[in-house]
Amino acid sequence: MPYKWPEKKKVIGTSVPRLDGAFKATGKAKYSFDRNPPGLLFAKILRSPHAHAKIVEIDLKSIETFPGVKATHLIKGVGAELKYGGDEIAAVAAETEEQARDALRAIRVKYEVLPFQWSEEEALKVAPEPKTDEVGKVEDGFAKADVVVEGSYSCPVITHVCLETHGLVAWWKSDEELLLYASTQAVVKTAADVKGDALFKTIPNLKVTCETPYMGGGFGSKFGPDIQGIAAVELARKAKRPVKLMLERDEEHWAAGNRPSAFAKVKIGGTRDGKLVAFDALTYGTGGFSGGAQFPLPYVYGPETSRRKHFNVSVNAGDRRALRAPGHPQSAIVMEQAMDDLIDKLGVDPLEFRIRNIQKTGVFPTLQPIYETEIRLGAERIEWKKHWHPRGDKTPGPLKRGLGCALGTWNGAAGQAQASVTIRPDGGVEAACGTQDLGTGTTTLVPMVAAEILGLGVKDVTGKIGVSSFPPAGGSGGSTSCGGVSLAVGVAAMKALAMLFEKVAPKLGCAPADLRAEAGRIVSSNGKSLSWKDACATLETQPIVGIGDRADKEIQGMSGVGVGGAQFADVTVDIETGQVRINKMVAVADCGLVMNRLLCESQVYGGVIGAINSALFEERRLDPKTGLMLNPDLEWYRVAGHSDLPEIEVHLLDYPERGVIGIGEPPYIPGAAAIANAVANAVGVRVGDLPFSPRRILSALAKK
Amino acid sequence: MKKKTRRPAKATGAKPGFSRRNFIQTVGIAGVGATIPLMQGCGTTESGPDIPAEGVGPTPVDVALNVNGQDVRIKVEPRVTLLDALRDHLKLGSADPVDLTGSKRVCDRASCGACTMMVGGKTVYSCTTLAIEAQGKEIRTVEGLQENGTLHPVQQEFVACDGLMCGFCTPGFIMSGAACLEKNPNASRDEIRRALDGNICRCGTQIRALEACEKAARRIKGRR
Repeated sequence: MPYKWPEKKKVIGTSVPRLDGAFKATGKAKYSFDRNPPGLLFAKILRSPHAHAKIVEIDLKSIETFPGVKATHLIKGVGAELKYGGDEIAAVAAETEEQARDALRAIRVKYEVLPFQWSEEEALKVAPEPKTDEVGKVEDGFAKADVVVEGSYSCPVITHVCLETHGLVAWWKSDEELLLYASTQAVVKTAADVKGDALFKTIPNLKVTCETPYMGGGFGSKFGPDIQGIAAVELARKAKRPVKLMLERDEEHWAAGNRPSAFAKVKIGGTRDGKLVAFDALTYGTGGFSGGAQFPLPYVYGPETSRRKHFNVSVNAGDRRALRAPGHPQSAIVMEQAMDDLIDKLGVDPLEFRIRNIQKTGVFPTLQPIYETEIRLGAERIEWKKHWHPRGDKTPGPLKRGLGCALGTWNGAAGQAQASVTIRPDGGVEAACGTQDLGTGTTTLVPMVAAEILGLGVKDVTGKIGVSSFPPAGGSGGSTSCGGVSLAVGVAAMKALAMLFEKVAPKLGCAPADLRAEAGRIVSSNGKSLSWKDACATLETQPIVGIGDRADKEIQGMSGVGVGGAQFADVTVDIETGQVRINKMVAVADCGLVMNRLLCESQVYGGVIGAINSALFEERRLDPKTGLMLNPDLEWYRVAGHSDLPEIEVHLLDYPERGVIGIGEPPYIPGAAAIANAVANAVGVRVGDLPFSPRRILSALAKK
Repeated sequence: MKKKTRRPAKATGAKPGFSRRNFIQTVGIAGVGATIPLMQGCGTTESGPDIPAEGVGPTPVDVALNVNGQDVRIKVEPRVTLLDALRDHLKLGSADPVDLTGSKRVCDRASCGACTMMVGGKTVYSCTTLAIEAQGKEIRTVEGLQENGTLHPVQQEFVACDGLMCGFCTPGFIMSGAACLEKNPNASRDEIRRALDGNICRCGTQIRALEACEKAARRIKGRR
């Protein structure tokens, strides 16, 4: 029989403050960065000072006697190509961090400096010709159009800016037992990757454990040990002492991932009776030296005909990694701005035109009514009717106000996860899963789910996550953890409870099927009941363990896929200074069954704030002269301070019948596009290229 | 500003499709130079050693600090920051280890506030304060906010309002908020906002961090 969530939920859907909140708020939470095992050494990495070079000579021998140095490790040897400024060359471990930094300066390296590419625009000229994706004939589509609009839109490469940088502490407990404290979104995979690495896979009976009870943000960039992690493990092995290697802030910007840029030239056609009939796009972007910069297009909306050609271009810069809803914000930035330009020229209702042209295939028929609800609610909350006007605020004076809206979508399917729920004879309950908490709230989610099924309070269950030896779960990415972990823990609890019912039924003189768990008691339909403690005492000495596996076919209906989200922005632009001020953002989000309302809302706030950052501030700048990143810090790589942020209103739509769907990525998707449209609505011209710095606003106005 | 009439979109005669050539001509971030010679600065070059083989600088010196009311003595190089001294040298270097890793190192150059401590009653970026400078002053870290095991009102509200997600920025936010409200529990929303302006959060907890501080202010006022 298929497993189901209970009809009436006591814990799921309520607001449960983070169970680890007090540990974080008092500074007691130990992140990987905070681990200082006895005898700890500090490691640093020597990185390429050139955007593109070859190593001609390198001498690590000379620093082996440098004060404090205990081990060295060559990452790339003579002849190796260095593909970007910041590419790893060698690592050194020393008694203090200061000594490790000094030791790097004592390494002599000879480079052959090679030509480099920093500009996406230049790289495009030599990019291989890609295939064209086509739906119908765009020529026919454009022929039907009443209005055709062309526009250019772009967003630059941005970086993850995880506050806890990438890295780990490697601690060999013996020759074949390795403990890692890694800042990772995937404890199981990180341990497996280290064990399988060429340097260590020949070690017989090697046991690697990764422990990550806390980690300071990943956003898609922390799925394995990385080059620096492997280096730290090797240094620790050589020195026979624990080694900490956490990246410095500049290294984090250079080497720890980024979101690819997107440049698009779009032609879009529609009819006055509200049909999107043709969409033609040529796009490119860079994901660094290996190039990949894909993003879906057309996005959310379904033109009758479409054509799209996309170039992945390579530049000499650090490689891309998934960043919160990989590809989708770029899609929204391109698609929504083009839609908005078309809507403006057509003179049709922006909201109705959007609702009418949502895609008709895949998950979109399910999402259609959800989008409609979201758009109507969002429009009401941002006071669309009152404040929206045709493009260009006609009010006298330099301050121009405008509104914009945008939609996003994400799959959010439940990811792979197994979990165990153990019920002990003394009434204790443990729920364990090899997942991790990125700040998303998994630590709180795990006991919540078990408590719901077992009829207990959240604090009656001990949740155990963040250790690779627990029942394996996948990495936390793509908004897949909440679904996968909830299902695995939920079913493990249901199985354990069924075993408990078998034991309790004879005591209460009924069949197991007559029993239910509620409010800390096991209750029979015959009116008799036992307290949880007394019920568990029937186990005598033997605990019972239920195992749940997300792959189990019987549990598929407990989660869903495909969410829609709408966001609205209200902005004021000073057309004399070019300053953009966001007055208010409204986010309406769908995530199927809401698990923990408080934490779910926090995710949405976080997504909106991330989108504001990318719309107004964030940009990786490469130096045309050297190819090196100009702003690898947090001064010139800007993110919002409190005073930069507007009022943000979050509305969660709860659709319990859709099952659990992740919420990490969706709220990050449409915000920047909504802001872009609000800016155009305010100033009367399309600015098009993000981020909306005063210079870009003023340049666009000058062309008006 | 005067408005010019914009060119109407062409409904007819628009060529379907784009070439890479006209694409390159029309797309691109304004203000970025279009052509850069690829062969700039090529050839062979050397780096290092730019430091003597025996290392640099004065050797470790004795430093006496008063942290959260406790006297500690450590031996660190004079260039060691207050942040690194407390995070890495207390536990490792002292006979009576204290483990103070609550303050975080994020930007390491006074841009993000994750390392915020109170030194002599004022908030400082401890990543750009030397340990030797902090001698003779009262140093307060996030670990020192609790009184008799009870969370500081700002800490309590951060937990209750969910003003924290991954938690890595949280100690810094809490120190900034606590310093602001201890000085002035009547601080307005804008004053609290300004107090928190030097702190960066990447998960996006700012809205609720502000809410938490406002609620904490009410609690502190009620207590007095």
